[in-house]
Amino acid sequence: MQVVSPTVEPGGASRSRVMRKHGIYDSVQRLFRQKWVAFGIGRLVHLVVTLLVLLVVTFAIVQLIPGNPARLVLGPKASPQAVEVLRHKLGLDEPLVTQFLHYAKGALRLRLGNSFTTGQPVSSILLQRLPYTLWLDGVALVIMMLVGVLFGLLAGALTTAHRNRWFEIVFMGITGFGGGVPSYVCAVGLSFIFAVTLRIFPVAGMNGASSVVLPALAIALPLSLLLARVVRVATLDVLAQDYIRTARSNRLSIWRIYFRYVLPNVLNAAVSLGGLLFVGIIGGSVVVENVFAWPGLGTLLVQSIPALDYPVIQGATLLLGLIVVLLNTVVDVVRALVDPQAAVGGP
Amino acid sequence: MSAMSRDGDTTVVGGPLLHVDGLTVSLPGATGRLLPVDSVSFEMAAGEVVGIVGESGSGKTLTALAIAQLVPFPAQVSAKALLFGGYDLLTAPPKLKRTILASRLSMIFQNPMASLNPAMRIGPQLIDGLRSSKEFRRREARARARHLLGEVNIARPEAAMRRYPFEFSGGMRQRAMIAMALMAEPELLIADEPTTALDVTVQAQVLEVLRQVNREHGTAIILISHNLGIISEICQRVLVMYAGRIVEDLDVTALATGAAHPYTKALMASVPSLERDRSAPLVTIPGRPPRLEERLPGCAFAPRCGVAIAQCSTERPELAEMSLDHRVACFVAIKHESEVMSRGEA
Amino acid sequence: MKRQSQTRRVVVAFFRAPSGWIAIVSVGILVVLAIVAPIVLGRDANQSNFADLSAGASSAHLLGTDQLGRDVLARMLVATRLSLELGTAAAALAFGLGVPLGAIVALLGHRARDAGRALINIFLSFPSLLLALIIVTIVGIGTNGAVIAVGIGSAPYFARLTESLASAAVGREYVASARVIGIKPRRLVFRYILPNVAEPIVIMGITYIAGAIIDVSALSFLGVGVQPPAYDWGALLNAGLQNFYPDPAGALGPAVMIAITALAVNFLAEGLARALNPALWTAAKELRPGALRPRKLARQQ
Repeated sequence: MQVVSPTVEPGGASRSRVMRKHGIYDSVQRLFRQKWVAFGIGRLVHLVVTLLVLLVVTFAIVQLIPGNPARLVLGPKASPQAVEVLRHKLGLDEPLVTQFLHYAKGALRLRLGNSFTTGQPVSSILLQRLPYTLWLDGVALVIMMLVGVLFGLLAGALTTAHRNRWFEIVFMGITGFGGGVPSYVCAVGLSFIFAVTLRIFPVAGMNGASSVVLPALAIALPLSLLLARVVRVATLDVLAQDYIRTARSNRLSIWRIYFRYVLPNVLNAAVSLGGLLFVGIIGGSVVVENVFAWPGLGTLLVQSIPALDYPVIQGATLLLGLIVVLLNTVVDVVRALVDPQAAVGGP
Repeated sequence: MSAMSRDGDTTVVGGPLLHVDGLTVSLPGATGRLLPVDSVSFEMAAGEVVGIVGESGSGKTLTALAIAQLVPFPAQVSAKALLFGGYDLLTAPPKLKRTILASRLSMIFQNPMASLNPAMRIGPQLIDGLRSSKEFRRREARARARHLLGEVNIARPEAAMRRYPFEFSGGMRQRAMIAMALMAEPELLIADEPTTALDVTVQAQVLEVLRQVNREHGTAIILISHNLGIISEICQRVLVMYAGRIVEDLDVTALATGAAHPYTKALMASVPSLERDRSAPLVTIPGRPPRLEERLPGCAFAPRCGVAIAQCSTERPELAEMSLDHRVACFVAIKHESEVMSRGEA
Repeated sequence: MKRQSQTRRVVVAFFRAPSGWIAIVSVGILVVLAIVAPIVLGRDANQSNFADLSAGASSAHLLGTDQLGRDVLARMLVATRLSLELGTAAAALAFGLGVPLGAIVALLGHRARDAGRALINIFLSFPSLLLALIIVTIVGIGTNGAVIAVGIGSAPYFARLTESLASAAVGREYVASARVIGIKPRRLVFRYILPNVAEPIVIMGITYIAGAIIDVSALSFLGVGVQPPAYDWGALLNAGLQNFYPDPAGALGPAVMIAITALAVNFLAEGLARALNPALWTAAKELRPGALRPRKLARQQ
């Protein structure tokens, strides 16, 4: 059936069968081969610069404090000699650059000094608290994505072609109000409903698996409602596309259409916003941890501020900032993988 | 007329592959329901290639969508009869309808660039073309997809199946769509402006593929276009649509000389040809087609028609047989023909 | 002459939608409360009823009493003044710092502008609460500290907004011709660019007041903001939370106040935006600040 000579196609030799399964591997290969140089180096530079800024800012905390930090720590009644001793001990009388290098080197080696209040090494305090925060944030992330995407998909499916206008109004109302509620207010509300009134979940602390539910929900719910709004718009957009019409003309089941045709393309669009919201989880967790007396980095940080425990403050901020930076980087990489077209470029 | 059905039994199908009677598509409008497709009736035999020609807005795409049962909300389909392959599409239970349509009817659309899922590879999408059919087995489906990609002249089909749509050119995507449409060995393939978005050179390839599909597999084709040239290339019969109605139904060979409806004649006249006198102005049809809200009683073409009589504005002309295999919806044409006949007999 | 009729048109459009009315009414109520409540209820708010410590809701005390026997409802209403004041102050600070910064960056040469933009983006990539906590550590806890912290912490957001809008304006011809004539940068900024980018920025500024109220309350809630004997909603929330089991209303009241205020101010801003120019705000609204409270996104049609 040769009418014209077959067109020459892009791409080289056939790929190995092992790579066939997942789009990710294919994308990684393509990424590697073509634009990974620019992309990787760009991301790396961005990462390093951000970390540098983080170091400078945390370093600057102590430097920028008006007055004498040593005196602040020891209190007005301490003798001038004691203040001088502490100043020297903290290295505050050395030139700025030296102090910074000392600080930076220490940070990279995880030697962050000792707590002013407990005397324990800051790094061990941080490491002890870190898993709790990560666990809370992880659960919140999962809840946010699940609720946001599913709710948004549902809303999109129900409101195509201006159907169910009533639902659209209700949806906008819920997401508008719920999305504007700050996480700590949401925490109080949830606490009231579930812990005090219904007594299902514990009010405070980390007592077994169920105690992560309320704090994670408090962080995740408002953000997930915002995500749902965007997901709904993306869903409406995708449902209007021609390839959905193709899927329908193939008489595919609703499930397959939504799972393989709608969802992947919605995720493409929603991942950008998702990235911004991820950061919101970290910030939200700092406050919510305090509502529920969750033994994580947030409570640590907030306790150490009035206590003027500068090493701990610096360390906790540094660690939280690091989590944010790593999260942002991961989001960028995921975005590039999920959208092979954007990363590589079409014909 | 009998036909071999899929399972090998010989079923006497006492009628045409497709029987459409009074097909209407309605849309809710500000002042009542609008009818972009207004009582369309025609028949198709198995293996026939029929073209539907008309300007944009004439209702040709919606007619096709209505037949394929793919009309989008809020439009609604109604008809006196809609029979496909012996089944009544209006009353068939949903599951049965889904299987029949998946196995025996396929449609390809105008814009191939956006018709493929960007997040899925070509292979799985083609396999999806067979998924809802009666007999679906994965391995066979994959083999068939590979085979069909080769048939539509896509080089190295095995590798192509693992590609994403964005790696294909427009012409390749349209050919992949044709391959997808052929997966279930449909008896009827509806092609809605398959070449409009493509270069002229690619157009020829696509048309050739369609011609071969019809020749080698006996697949009936409905080809929709606003381009008479394309229609006359591969179609045997033409339906001319105007303002949601069929105004003429004739053999392609009769188009050039034997067209009866004033609109059809005007269309033919407006096609510029290389032999024409270059200095003469291009022929156009004065006026414009009525908008959906403007449809008045009587013939829709009457306001623009050069030979309209009083009856044309008050009464709506129905499709009437002018001669064998030639129907026309025009009072003037019918009257003229009967005069010729009576004169001939006299 | 033209300006006047335009203002009129905006006002009319604003009140056409029900959201406009709701917004004005609710914000109005809040403002009235802020002014009046401390005067009327001031004494009640500070009066300890030693007979009724930590009591739940009752007919005498609709929201119960706190640990020192003071009426929670009265305190909640009185706190309106401080919360609104501090939020507005913080928003004004963020605005006043961020906008000029953004405008300046937009006017710099190519390389410097890229660097400035990158730096702003880096700061923006962190949750603003974190930045605020850092600043509170430096400046010291307390009312002033909280306002300064929230103000500085949210300035990057305004900076980026201003920078992107101003850059778009700078790219246009009237700025180029002004530069050629030799107009000094300062005049350029204030007389040529700012007036044209003012509208969206001011809208976002007003919207952000809600965010600032929430952020300052958050700091007070955490104990690093408003210190006793002064109290705002955040501080009340904190106290109420410690008293949660006997008197949950003590925490719910301030929580609801915060939520309602946020809603009211958001309605106001949305109404304003819709009345002025719907198309313009879609881009701006996406760039909300970090994690203190979540972002709201424009309704896309």
